[in-house]
Amino acid sequence: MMISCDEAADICNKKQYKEASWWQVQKLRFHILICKTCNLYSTKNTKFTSLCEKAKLQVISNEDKEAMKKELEKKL
Amino acid sequence: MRPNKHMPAHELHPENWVDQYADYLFNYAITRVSDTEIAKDLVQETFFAGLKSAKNYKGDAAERTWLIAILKRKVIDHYRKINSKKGKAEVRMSYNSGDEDSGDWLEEKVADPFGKGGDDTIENRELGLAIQDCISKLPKKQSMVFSMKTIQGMSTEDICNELGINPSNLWVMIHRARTALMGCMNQNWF
Repeated sequence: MMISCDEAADICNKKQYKEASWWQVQKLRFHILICKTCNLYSTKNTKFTSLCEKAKLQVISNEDKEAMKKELEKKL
Repeated sequence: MRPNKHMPAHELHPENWVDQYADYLFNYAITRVSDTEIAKDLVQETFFAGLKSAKNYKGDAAERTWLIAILKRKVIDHYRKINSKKGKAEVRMSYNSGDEDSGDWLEEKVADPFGKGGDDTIENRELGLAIQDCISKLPKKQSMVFSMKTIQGMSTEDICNELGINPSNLWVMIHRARTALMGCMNQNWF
C-alpha cells in the first residue's frame, strides 16, 4: 500500500488521463492522506486538467506543421 | 550588459516560427473565425506576410507580438473579404432586424476581438492563450508529447510509436511538462 512520492506523482499524472488502475488510485489516495506535498501536487494537477479542458485548446497537426514549414522555407 | 541603443531588443527567426508560434496563433485565430481550416490558412498567411515585411521589423516588439499584430490584420481582411454585398445582406438580416442605423455587423465584430461572447468565453480564450504561451516555452519534445496526449487526446501507444519512445519516457516527459506548465501558469488561474 505504501508508495513513494515519485510513484504517487506518476499515478497522479496517469489519473489525469484515466490511465491509472483502480488499485493505483487507492494507493495514491492513501499516500496523499499522509503526504501534504503530494496532496497539494495532486490538487493542483487535477485543477490544471480542468483548466486545459475548459480552455478547449486546439493544435495544428504535426503533418500540417511540416507542410507549413516547407511552404515557408520556399519563401525564405 | 546594458542594452545598446542601436541594437534591436528582439530579432526575427522565421525558421522557428512554425514550431514556436503556430499553435498560439492558431488558437488566437480560431476564437475569431471559428473554422479550423480558415484559422490554419490565416496562420500560414501571417507567416508569409511576416517574411514579406521582415525588413520593417524594428525589434521593439517581441517576435510573437509582432506576428499577432499581423494576424489581427489578416482576420480583419478575412471578414472584409466575406463581407461582399450578398454576404452583408444575409448577415445583417440575422443581426438586427429593421434598424437602419444598426451599423456594420462585420466592422463591429472586428472592432471587438472577443465578439459578443460573455465573460466566461473571454476568460476561456485568455486561459487558452495563457496555456498555449506556457506550452511554447517547454522544450520541443516535451511540448510535443504534452500536446499529443492532452490536446489531441492520442493514446500512449500511438504517441510512443510515432515518436519512437517507450511509455516510461512518455510519462517522465508528461510529468516534467505538467510541472513546468503549472509553475508557468499565473497563480490567478488556480
